[in-house]
Order: sequence, then C-alpha cells, then structure tokens
Amino acid sequence: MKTQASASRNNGRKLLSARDILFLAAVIVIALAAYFLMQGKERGTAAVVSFEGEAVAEIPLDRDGVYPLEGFDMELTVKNGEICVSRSDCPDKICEKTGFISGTGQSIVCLPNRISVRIISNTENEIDVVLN
Amino acid sequence: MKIDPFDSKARYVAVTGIMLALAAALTAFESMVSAFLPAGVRIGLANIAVFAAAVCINLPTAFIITLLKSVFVLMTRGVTAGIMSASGGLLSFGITALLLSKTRCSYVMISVISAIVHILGQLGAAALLTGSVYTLYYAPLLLVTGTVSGFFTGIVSGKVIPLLEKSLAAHKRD
Repeated sequence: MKTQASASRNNGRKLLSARDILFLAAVIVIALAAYFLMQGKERGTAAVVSFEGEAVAEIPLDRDGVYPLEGFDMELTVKNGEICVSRSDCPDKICEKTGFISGTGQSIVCLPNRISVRIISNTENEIDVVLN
Repeated sequence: MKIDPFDSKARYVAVTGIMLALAAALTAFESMVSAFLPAGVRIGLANIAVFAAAVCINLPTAFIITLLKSVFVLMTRGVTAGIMSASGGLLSFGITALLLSKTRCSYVMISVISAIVHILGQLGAAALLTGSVYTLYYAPLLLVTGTVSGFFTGIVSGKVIPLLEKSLAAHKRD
C-alpha cells in the first residue's frame, strides 16, 4: 500500500561493524598515550599569562599567592608550586575547571577572555640565554 | 536532491522545524549537563538531531540546522561559544555529509569521526582566538571523551534514525 522506506542515503547502513571497534580502540590508546606524555613530569618554575598570544604577565610558582589579572575579571592562585585560575567572569568556566597545573608545557585556556596560562621552566630559559 | 521524502512544503517545514527545535533543546540541555563534566567536555547530543536531519531530510537542510544551532548558541551563550559551536559544527557537518554520501560507514563510525573532527575544529578555533597553540593541551583528554561520547551518540542515532525514516515514510500521503 504505502511506499517502503525510501532507498535513502542510509540504505543498509550498519549500526556498528567489527573494524569500528579497532578504530575506536586505536584512537583511545593514541589519545591516552598523548595525554600521559603531555603530563609534563618536570615541574615548572613560572607561569606565563598571555592575552591573544602576547605575554602579559609572568608569575613565579615558588611563592603562594593570589594574583588578580589586571584588566580582566580573573584571578590566579599559586599554591605549593601549582597554579590555577581561581576566579573568572567567563560563562563556561573551563579555565576554573581545568584546576591546578604545575608541569612544564601544561596550559589553562580561558576562551571568552582570550587568556592562556602556560607553565614554563626558567632554568631552561637561563641556559638559552647563556647559549645565545 | 535525489530523494525528497516530503510531499508538501508544509510537511518539510514542520519536520525541519522539529529537528531545529530538537537541536536547540539538546544544546540547552547539554549546557546544563556539561557544568558537571571536566573542562571542555561535551557529549554532542545536539549532533544526533543534525545527523537525523542529514539522513531523513537532506544535506542542505542539515547544514541550515547546523548554522541556526550555532546562532542559537551565539544568542544564549555569547560570541565565544557561538564561534566554537560554528567551527566545530560546520566541520563535523562536512565530514558527516561526506561519509553519508560517499561511504557505507556504520552509524557509530560516522558519529565518532564527526566528534573527532568537531573537537579538532574547535581546538583550531580556540588556538586562533587565544593566539596560542597551547589549547592543544586539551586535545588528548577531549579526544578520549569525544570518542566515547561519539560511540554512544552513534548507537542512539543508529537506533533512532531508521525508526524516524520509517515513520516519515509511513505517514507520507501518496
């Protein structure tokens, strides 16, 4: 009586096939490996705060303290050599939820404020200066 | 368009409107849920609606729904969220359209690849917004959660979309 389900783009499409599982497992393994590799084992000595890619502040990690970010409704907190965004006026709070970071190369990003915080190791920089 | 399952304009507009409403509602629901998830992690529920529109209506309509979904985000959650929604949404729509029309990939595969592309697009946009490539620091964790959530939204899509297709075909007057 009525037309059968039309021969659409979807004809015979499977829900899941065996090779999918392989692909999924591969993606997860690679991403997890990258995750653990990127957990900088070396502790940093300072955090560089950048606005739209330009460094606006450098905060040493060897002293505990609360640092309001000038010109922004944001506040950074340093505790036990780690740093976090402790307050931000952004709506999504991704920066606050990232929590404390301390390893070199680790980052916190606040997209609405265009702010990124990255851990660096100043000893490395000093060596660079000597070489230069 | 090869196949138009809609025999009247009114029907097309109604179904498209329902899909857009669904996409917007799922987006809003997801915003509430993601408050309890780790930084930046989202489930991608609204993409089920786009996926369904791409299969059951047609690709141009799914594209328009993707765009309007981002406009909805722009109006409710601000410029940054709107840019993120559009950058991820349009890229993942592109790959979904490609996989749907050129391959016989499974629902789960399409959903997972679309989720991965969505994340990469957003991280790219985030890097441009902050002027820093260190947004990539978030990539590994997001790829793990995106693959897992893409798997589940793929299962849901694969269960729901054939039913929707059948129901749309059954109610067609001819």
